[in-house]
Amino acid sequence: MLRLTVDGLRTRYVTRGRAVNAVDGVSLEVAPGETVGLVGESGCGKSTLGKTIMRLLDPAEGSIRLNGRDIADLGSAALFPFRRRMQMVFQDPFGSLNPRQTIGTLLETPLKVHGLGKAAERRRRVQDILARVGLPAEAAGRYPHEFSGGQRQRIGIARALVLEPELIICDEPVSALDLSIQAQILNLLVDLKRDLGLSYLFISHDLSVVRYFTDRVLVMYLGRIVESAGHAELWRTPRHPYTRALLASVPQPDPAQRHERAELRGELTRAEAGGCRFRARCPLAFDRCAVEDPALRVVAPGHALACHLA
Amino acid sequence: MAPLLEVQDLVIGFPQAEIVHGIDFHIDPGETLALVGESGCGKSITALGLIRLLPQGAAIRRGRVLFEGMDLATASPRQMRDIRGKRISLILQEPMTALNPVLTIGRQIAEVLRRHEPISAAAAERRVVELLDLVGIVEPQRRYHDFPHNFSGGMRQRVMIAMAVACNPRLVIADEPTTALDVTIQAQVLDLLDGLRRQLGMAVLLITHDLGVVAQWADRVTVMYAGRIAEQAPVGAFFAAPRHPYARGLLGASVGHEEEAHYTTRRLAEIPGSVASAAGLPGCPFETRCPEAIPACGIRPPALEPVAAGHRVACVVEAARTGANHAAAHG
Amino acid sequence: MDGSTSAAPAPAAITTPLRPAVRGRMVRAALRNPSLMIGVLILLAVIVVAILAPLLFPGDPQDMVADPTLWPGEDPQYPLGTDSLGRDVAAGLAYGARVSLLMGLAAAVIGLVIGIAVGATGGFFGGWVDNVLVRLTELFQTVPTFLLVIVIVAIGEPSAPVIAWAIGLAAWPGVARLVRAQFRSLRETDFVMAARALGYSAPRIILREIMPSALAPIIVATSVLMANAILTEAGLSFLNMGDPNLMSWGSMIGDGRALLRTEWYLTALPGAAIAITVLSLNLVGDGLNDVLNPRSGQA
Repeated sequence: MLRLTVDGLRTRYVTRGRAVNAVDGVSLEVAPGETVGLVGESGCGKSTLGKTIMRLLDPAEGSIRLNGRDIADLGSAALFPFRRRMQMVFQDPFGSLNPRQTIGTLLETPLKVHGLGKAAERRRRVQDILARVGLPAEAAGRYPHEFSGGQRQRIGIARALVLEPELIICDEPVSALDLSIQAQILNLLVDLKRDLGLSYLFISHDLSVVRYFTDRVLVMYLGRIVESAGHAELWRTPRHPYTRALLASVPQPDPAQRHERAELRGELTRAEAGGCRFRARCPLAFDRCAVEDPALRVVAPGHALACHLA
Repeated sequence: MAPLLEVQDLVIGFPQAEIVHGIDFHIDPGETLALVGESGCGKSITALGLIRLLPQGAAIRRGRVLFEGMDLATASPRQMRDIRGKRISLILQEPMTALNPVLTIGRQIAEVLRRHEPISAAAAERRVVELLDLVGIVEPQRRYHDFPHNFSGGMRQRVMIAMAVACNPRLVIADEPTTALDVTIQAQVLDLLDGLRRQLGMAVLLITHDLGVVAQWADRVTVMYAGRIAEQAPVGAFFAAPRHPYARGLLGASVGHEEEAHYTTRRLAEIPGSVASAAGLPGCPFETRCPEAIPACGIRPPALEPVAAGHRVACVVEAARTGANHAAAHG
Repeated sequence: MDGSTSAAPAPAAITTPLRPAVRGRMVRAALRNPSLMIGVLILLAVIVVAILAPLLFPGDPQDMVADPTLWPGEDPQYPLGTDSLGRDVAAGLAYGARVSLLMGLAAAVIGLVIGIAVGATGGFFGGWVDNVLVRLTELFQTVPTFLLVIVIVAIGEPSAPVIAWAIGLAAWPGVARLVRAQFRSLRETDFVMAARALGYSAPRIILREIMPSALAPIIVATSVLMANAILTEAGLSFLNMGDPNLMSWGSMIGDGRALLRTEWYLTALPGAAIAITVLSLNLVGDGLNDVLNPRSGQA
């Protein structure tokens, strides 16, 4: 049972002498067995958040707790045992597999590094995991370029699974795939969750996918979480003006439902300091929004919101 | 009504491989036709083939592209240059690379105008400012002198649209125009393009992989699979009852299709395998992935047959079913 | 976990015909590449001559064996003639090939080892480590290569090992910059991210994950590095700063310089040997670049 608790997390980038908080004070929790969606537009910091939680990037502030143990400041040696418990699936099925290693090597090396099993056991484990993600045993002897995009994503998932983690951070795992392949991969993730009791932090810009696949959804805007609610609740009563605009923008594959889209002004831009970051694009912004940065607060059971109007 | 553009038996290939295997479709004046399919199905190559901007090595091997009394497949390079940008214009997926980074955007649009119309520099500048205003760029007078890097992705796509409609074309080909953009910006850009289509009376060929985009912004849809047309229909009929098994599979696999679908209650319908499954086989390219395949599917690729008004399907099984229904109705 | 249960959906995903391995394709691409093939053939010829030199020309190439300044063809026993001291030009060229190739190889190896170590460390770790190493690299690069070699040889002694070290020391900054650029872009790739997420150690990531992908441009650079080392060594010998105990192409040119107007073949023959060898290395480099670069490999 692994519980992830992130509190007040900030990740800072320095570009041309200017420090920008790509993740700017994020708190979240992923309970054992839960699938939490993290949605937002490109540049909102969702990927950076995922990589910071994985400790692929160093946080500037805040804590990342796994069952209460803070890993935010651990060095690589102290972090090592936690790697087995939390893994990551990447977006790009082409870039995330080393092109010069066979699938067997790709999947066996993590076991070697973590000192798990003898050579024969490791090979059997690789075979098991390949079958598990729907790939034939002979895939072990082949190179990534010999597989299609969907198959490579299966390999990426297999690699994340090989250490038997409890939590998997999925960073846009189906965004690079064609529609018919997306369904295969999503079904695979559902099966794995059910059979292995995994929990997911599922990062995506695709609201339809998040709606289908997650239990609870966090909506991120410019480094902050602006709304968090159960999936049904969020789609039934989205409260933040940004969430509402985001949901209304998704084109429904149903011509009978052509409707006027709530047009959102402008694009995601770094707002000047102070006040709500969404105010420049917000159709409802008023005086207070320019002065006071709204904090995320609970407005209904299981529903939190960062907006002065709710 | 005579079609604006009519494609007949178009075959496009590279020296080693044929990509588009003889397709037929038409575009009516003023309509939006969506060309959908997954990556590698040949939809982008088809679009580029229409205006003869194929990548190195690719060529039209057979077929006709009839537009305003001319066959674009055999038109001279000079004739094509006069048509491109004036009668037919193109909007690409990646607005960053489609614009020249060292020229102001005003100048780039003005260049298109002056290439096709005998107008003075001052008149061109006035017209460009109007165009920028038309595509919703605030302070067009000032933005005229900005460079592409001063614009965000959505704004650059607006600039591309301004450039595309500058000479009042009859047809705009938009190749995945919003794939690189966020969903809120996508709605803005496609609404803009749709508004201009009505306002200027032009037709749009919208190439996309997103069925939501098709449903929201297209009048008719053409589904491509492995270099062939699988189905062609008005969007209403298509989304109500897609006839090709591939189209049905796509809609079933699409998570947005059923609003209430959730992983705890419903499993997504899968299309097994991948496009490559049928490579090199003589029959229907979808046969190996098709749940309804019968032996007849393996003989030759099925022809596109009408199944209802304006609705055509390339499927042996579906054609037989329609024929049987007709026979029952009339017999 | 057991792998047999409900992973059943999507069996068809495995039916994709799999393509032949990349290695066979690379070999075939190499055989089809004319510049690589020509370069390799010339280089092989030079290597064979270098290896067989003691068999072809027993005895010391520095020995005076005949009348001075015999023109090529004048005496069939000395087909390429003799120099102003009556030494066999053909023997000189053959032994000179050994010196040039060995010098080129040794200097390239030294330059590569230092350059890869510095570039990989800086590129992978970044931060202050990278800053220090970049400054160091730039410090070496501000001094012109040839001057640096001359200074080092002048401080030491003109012996073959010192010269090899000098050329290697002067060449590593170029390698370091190349390797650093490779590592910087590769360490941001998702497969390296995945390796870090799995807890791989830094040495494992550098050697097993990044290095194989960074190798192609390094191999290409090596051939150019060797060519430059051969040129530098020839230049040193020409200036009489080479190893006096060795017959090298550079020293042959230097010796022939005084007779350039009359016995021009004494300069032209070793000059041609250098030009052909350097050209062949450049052809090999170009060819390897085409073959190893996957984007140009798949048409």
